[in-house]
Amino acid sequence: MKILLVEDDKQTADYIAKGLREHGHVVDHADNGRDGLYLATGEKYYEVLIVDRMLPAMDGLSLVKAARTSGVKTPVLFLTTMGGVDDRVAGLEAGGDDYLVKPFAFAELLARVGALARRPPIMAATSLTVGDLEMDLLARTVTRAGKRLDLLAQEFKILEYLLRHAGEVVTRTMLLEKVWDFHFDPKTNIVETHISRLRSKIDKGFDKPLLHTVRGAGYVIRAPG
Amino acid sequence: MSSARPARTLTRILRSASFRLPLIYAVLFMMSAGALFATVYYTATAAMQNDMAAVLRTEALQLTEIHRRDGLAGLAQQIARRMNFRTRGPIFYLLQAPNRRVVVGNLPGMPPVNGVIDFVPQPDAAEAETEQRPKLTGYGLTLSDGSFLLVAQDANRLSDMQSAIVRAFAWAGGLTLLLAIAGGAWLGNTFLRRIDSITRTSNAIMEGDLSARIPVRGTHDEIDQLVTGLNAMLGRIQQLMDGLRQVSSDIAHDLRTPLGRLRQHLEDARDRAKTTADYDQATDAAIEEADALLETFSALLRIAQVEAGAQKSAFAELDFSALVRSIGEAYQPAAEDSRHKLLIQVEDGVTLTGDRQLLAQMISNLVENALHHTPEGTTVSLGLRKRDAGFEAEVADDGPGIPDDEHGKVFDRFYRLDRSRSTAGSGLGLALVKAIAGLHGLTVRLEDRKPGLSVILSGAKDPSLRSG
Repeated sequence: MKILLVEDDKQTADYIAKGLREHGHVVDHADNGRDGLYLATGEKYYEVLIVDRMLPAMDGLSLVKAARTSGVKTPVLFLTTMGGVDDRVAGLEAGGDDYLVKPFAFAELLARVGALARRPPIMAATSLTVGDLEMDLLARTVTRAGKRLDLLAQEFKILEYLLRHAGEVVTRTMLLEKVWDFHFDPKTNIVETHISRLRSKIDKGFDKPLLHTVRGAGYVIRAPG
Repeated sequence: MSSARPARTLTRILRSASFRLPLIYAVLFMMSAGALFATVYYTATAAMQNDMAAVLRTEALQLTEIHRRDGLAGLAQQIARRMNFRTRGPIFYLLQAPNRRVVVGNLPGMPPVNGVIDFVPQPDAAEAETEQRPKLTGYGLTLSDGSFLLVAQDANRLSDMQSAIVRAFAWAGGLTLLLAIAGGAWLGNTFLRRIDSITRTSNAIMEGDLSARIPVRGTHDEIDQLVTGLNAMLGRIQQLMDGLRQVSSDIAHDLRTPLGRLRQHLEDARDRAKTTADYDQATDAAIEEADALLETFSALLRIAQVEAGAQKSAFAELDFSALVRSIGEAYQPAAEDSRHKLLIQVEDGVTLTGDRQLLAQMISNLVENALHHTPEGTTVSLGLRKRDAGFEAEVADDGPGIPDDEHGKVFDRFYRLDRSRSTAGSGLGLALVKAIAGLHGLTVRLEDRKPGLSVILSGAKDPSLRSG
């Protein structure tokens, strides 16, 4: 995947670029907003832009606004130390697609970049399927191998999000944000306990598990085999 | 030393606005008094001159009449008689024959002049030595037979009156000027002393004595009001500074422990790790400590942001009932896993204008507190009830509760009960709850449920909504 990283702190930039390259991505780096905008609007095609909020020459918000104005549709992930709700809203309004507050775990960044690059997912679908698991979005029912599964509302939301990102790693933070709209880190293992209940409902009694834990990163739902 | 001080005080008084102002007023007053003086002086003088001339003319015309009736001799007789009476103040007469011989009179002879004249009579040989010759105002008339009649009056009456006016004005003006200067100096000095006390206090504060206050005189005048206001402001600033000092020392103190542990884990990784598994374990522990530290910082930042009221732009109307219920459901499995019973009793239809994410964090913090600080088997209840005046959200447990005397402190930053020191947590959760509640105009109170503790958030009915 071709990624443009606009980040002025050299250490952070090196850390991110190195990590992304190790995972097989191609990374271009700009250390100020103006160069970043030049690259983002240039000839070269990027699949994801990772943009720091506070940058020399041109701040991240202006960069993304300018890029959007000139027709760049590439998904944007904002990186920032500014974690206030207002900052988040401002970032999304400027045309950002996701928002990651520094400091972050690298696995989190990787998962979010992956999720962004594959957008837009199958939004208009009325059902989601992985292996023999099927979710009917209209009837709000879930079946596995034809057997009806009885899920609570929040378990349904978690499973829906996982299915929409089938095959991708979904982190604990992503689930907190998307399922519960929690933009803080609870001390309680909310996600883990819900996942374990969900897992017991969808995988228990079946030979091949669909829901997997990726150690140190998150969860992934994928068809067996 | 002591002599320099009064001199300096004097210069300051002269320079002070409260002295200059009376001085300017004094000058203005003197100017208007001067104008008044000139008017009075000239009008009075003119009136008196007219009056004197009229008296003299009347006298002269009467005498002319007598001259026409009785001739020169009769006139001389009449004049001689009038000279003895002197009814209307001293009037001087002169009757001079056409050959300039003085017929009768108490004035020396002189060349005839008709009309009003001011003159000083030429001294007679005899009288010159003894009597001072006064200035006279006279009315001269040449009679039909060529003789000359002069009636005169002492002109000093006029100059006496004039000097009386001048004297009166001089005294009054001088006194006014004196009073203005003295009053100005007194006023200036009084103000200066009060301003000095303000300057002294501000200097003391700049030198570090934040408790210094400006003395209040108790006169309830404008300066007292200003001083009271300034003192109140200083009190508030001191309070904030104390708070800040407290927070920074708390931060320094509370971060030492986790930083120390972090360092220890890193040392372990370097010195003791023999296998990759050892190494991973030590670094994982270090990362965990670092995460906890970062969490503390972000909680502090959040509290600061919320307390600054900077987050109000994200306010929107929201369904508080649904929010509280979904938080309860989010914690349900975790509560079961930690062998707690979580009861969710939420009434529908509570709406409120606020920041959804902050409110979610507020309720979550309360639920987590209840789950983390109570033993297994405890029942935790999360409730939301409508009240006449608004609503009440309550997170209660039947656990050990907290001592009454600590009720006020648990909302302080980094405050932790002795028994929870060993458990994880930053001691910031309730401080954040209080800040968020404050931002939304909710009041927080603790109640002892005997056993257990109840945290109650009460909110007034949203005034912007007509609630059904």
